[in-house]
Amino acid sequence: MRYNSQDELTRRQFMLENARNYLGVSLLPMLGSSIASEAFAQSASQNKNPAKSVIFLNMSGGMSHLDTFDLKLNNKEVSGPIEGLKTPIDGYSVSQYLPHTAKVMDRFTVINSMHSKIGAHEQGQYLVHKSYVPRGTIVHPSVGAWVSKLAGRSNPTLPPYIAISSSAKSTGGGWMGANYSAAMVGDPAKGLEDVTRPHSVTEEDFHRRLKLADMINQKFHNDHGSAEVKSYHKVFEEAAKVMESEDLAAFDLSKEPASVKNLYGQSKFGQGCLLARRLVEADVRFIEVGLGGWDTHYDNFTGVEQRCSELDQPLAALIQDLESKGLLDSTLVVLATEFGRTPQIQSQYREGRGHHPSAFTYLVAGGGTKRGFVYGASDERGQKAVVDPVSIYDFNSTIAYALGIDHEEVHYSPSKRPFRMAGPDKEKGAPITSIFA
Amino acid sequence: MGLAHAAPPEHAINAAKIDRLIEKRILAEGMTVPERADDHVFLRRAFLSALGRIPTVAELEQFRDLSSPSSRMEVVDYVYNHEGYNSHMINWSMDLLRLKDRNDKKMNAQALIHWVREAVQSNMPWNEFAKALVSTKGNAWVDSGAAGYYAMDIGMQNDNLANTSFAFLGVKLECAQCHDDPFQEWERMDFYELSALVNGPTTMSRNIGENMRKLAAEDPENYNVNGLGRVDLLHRSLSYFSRFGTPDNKGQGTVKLPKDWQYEDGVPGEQVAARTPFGEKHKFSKALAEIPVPDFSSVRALPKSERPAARQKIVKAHQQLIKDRDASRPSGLDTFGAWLTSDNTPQFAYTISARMWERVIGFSLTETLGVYEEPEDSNFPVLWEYLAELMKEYDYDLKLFQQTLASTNFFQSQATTRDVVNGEVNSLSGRVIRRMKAEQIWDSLLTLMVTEPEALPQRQLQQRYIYRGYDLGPIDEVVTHVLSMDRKTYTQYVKNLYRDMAEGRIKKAGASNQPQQMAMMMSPKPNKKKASKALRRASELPSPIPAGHFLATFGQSERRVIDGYSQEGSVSQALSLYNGSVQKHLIDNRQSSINQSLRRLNSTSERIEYIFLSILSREPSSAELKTCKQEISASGQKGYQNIISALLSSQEFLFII
Repeated sequence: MRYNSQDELTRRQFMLENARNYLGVSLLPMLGSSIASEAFAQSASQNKNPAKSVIFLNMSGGMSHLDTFDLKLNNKEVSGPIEGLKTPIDGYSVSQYLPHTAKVMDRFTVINSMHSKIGAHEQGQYLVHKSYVPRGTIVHPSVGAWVSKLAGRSNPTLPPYIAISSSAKSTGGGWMGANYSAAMVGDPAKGLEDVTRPHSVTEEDFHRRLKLADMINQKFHNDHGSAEVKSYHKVFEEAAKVMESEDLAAFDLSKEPASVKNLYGQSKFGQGCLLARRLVEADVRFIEVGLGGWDTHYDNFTGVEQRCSELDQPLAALIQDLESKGLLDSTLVVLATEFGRTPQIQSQYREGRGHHPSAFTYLVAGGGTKRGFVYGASDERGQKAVVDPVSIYDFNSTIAYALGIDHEEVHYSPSKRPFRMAGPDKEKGAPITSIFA
Repeated sequence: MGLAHAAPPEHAINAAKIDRLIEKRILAEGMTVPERADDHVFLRRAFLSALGRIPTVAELEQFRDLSSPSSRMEVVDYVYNHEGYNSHMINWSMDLLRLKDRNDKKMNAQALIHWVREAVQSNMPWNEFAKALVSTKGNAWVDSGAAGYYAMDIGMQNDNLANTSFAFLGVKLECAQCHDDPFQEWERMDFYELSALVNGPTTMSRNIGENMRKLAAEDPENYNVNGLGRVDLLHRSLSYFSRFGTPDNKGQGTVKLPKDWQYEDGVPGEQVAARTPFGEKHKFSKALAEIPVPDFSSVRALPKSERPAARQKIVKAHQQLIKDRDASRPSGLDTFGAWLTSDNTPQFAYTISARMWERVIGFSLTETLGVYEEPEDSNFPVLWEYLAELMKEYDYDLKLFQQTLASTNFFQSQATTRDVVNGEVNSLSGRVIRRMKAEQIWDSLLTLMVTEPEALPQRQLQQRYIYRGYDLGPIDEVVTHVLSMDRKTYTQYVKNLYRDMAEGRIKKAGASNQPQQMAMMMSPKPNKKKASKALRRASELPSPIPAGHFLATFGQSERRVIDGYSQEGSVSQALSLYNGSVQKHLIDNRQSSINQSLRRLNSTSERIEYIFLSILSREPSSAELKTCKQEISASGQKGYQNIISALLSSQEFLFII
């Protein structure tokens, strides 16, 4: 699945020619990795040893930092029944719900000083994914779309942005157009659904259909060709190209030995992580895997324990597996969430915890980041990020940095408004370079 | 009929007034009034707006001639009085209220959903609808499904309040849950004083007097029987049904400030009384919050033997104080409902009229859909004020209101190709083109699969309590019984009930006399996968739909947040239209209505025309007809399938112009 042999290049060239002929378009603009501005290429802010892919594990609902990776064991009133598990990092423990992860914490950088101003799920998830807060006047592209656009694709036929068990709302291309939206995988065991022609449709039929649809679309575009409508056309071209891809086996988990599957566990999230690793091997740029249900207002400790039992084994397996395949250095793994939970335990909701955006935790591993490192800190109650606070804007800029792309590069929407991967100017999003080795 | 001077109906007169306001504004902006869209564009738009699906060929036939001035109004009347309107409106309501089949604790929420469906079907006035949801007490299975509104958000009283405020008033209060809102005027105290109105448990309670899980572990022979599961699961099931409702002690009118209170206007743990922060003024007496803690100091002076009785007396007196207060104070929930829907809370009428406008006309009057702005500062002050007044004049009849909007000339405008954004006057340059919502695509595909999409089975409310196959009786009777018992009696009841099933004293529900659909809805764990594959309108499928389902792929809301849907495209959607269920269930399926109809037609041209009408609601151009005929000569019968597939994967099918 690598594209450096002469044969592969020829095949790829051949395939492109074919696609061009059938679809009447050039696919080359989508292919080229972005040639960043010369100024950026020469600036000190460019990462000279960039990662190639990102695996973005999205803990939606608001993962409790206090009961996972930012324990306050000296403060029983905050920690409740949580106990610490020692990790290979000196003096740093994770919660007893994360026994597998505890053992591999020496591969991670823990950021315990994440903070935001948004305590509602919808807006919080939006900000995490897009570096902007929702506005009625525009739909912003997700970070995966930015990465696809700025870093370009490295596999010419597979979608550069794939979302597993995630919502369409969070993973869209926004103003960049539907062709920058993530391809969605609902069930990792099924891979990318509907990617093969049904038996009843021959290849010739399929190409006839494309030509007929082109006829209808051309007329429609002449009459009603907004940027959005045109981006849909590109999506259908993309889909036809994916169908022809020789790398579809990347989606097939049955190709994995049982031992590896068991390493990840049989849960949907576990299989999603395994699929993410296969997609990294196939040079997909940005893969999101979702794990929901972290909204533990009610009966927090049962809820967190349950969620951790879904998260723990796959997360540890993913890191170990990437490492053993020599992919960890070129892959940035991120564990993200929209906010943390309140230090105050609410007894009236059977020991629940509310939304808490002023301090929470992200994890990163690989992609050139430091190993066994704790960055930043919240105060003694986990109430506020006090040491080296990191905003979502900073963090998304850090993803750009890891990939060697310019978080400040300005791109314009069809309505001629400027946007950046780092978010709005006024938020001053900047990469946290000190977490890189 | 035929009378030259028949007065136009009320909604047509009001539609004309709206047009005058829009035209005035268009001219003031130096723009031109957009042209009228073609008949077939209008037809498709009207059907998709009201029924959420494209017209069938039979319906196109019915409205073939739209040349007379009144004929387009007949289309509007038809679509707004059609059964399909309810289905599409139910989708909208489920999105706004974030209705899922189960709440976060997996409690069955069908009673609430069923109530909402019936409210939509009877076109319940929006103010009555809102008031019932926030004020109804009792059990949702026994008293009224509306009583499930708070239980839906179990353990999340503050989130529920923030969502209620946004859904019905367009006011975002979620920031003020934790701190003074830096972007708006709301302070944290405003949020807490409002929350006092709804303060109290989010569900009813049903406790048990014994650890059932322990019992099952210690006595598995009797309480962990094969096929029945552990006895504690029976308790959980019973309690989940009986707790799904709003208890009497909800709406206390006072609330305790949380431990992290950070402002000088209160102290942590302080009780504050209810006050509404905007709109109609309501203020509960502070005295409600101030019942002194009982003072036992006098007891200590007494001889030991007399102390218990004296203590008891003080406790009783204190309980009486609380009782008197509770009897005399106004109901927080009733006050909340009255405030929410009052004419003196202008946000209510403005917000629903703006939401209905967006639904029918296609763009938002405000910068962000559903977010209230001061009307005089908005982009369309005069129009919006008129619409809010009209909404009140109509007594919040949403159907009539939408019918009025669809009767305007502006609704019939040609589409604009300018890249317009919400809340900008550019939106007046013509209809904003948008991709169909997931449900509209799904329901439109249904019109090609069955002749009458509205005749397909609908969701039914589960009536009988079936536990692991055993019929425990009508749900409302079981729940009433369960709620009537004290803790001790209930504990014994659970054990007896369990043993009755184990020993066959309770009969298994007969599978044969239950229609398949009913059985599915009634099983404690509905088979989501199976249900979601059924041929039903989107409103009849499980909520939320499982990931990977066609509706999820096309962006149906997961119903976690308000307006959680997406109308963006993705590669997965294209793949689904090329190779997925559309090919299997529609194109390859000889029984699909489009294939059946094609077999009845004789000539190639007729068949091609039929395909175009079915999918794009228009006839093919002569060039298109020619190309399609060539396709049939080259591919034979297969050619028709190719044409159907091509049209379904076209942008013309997916976008509403």
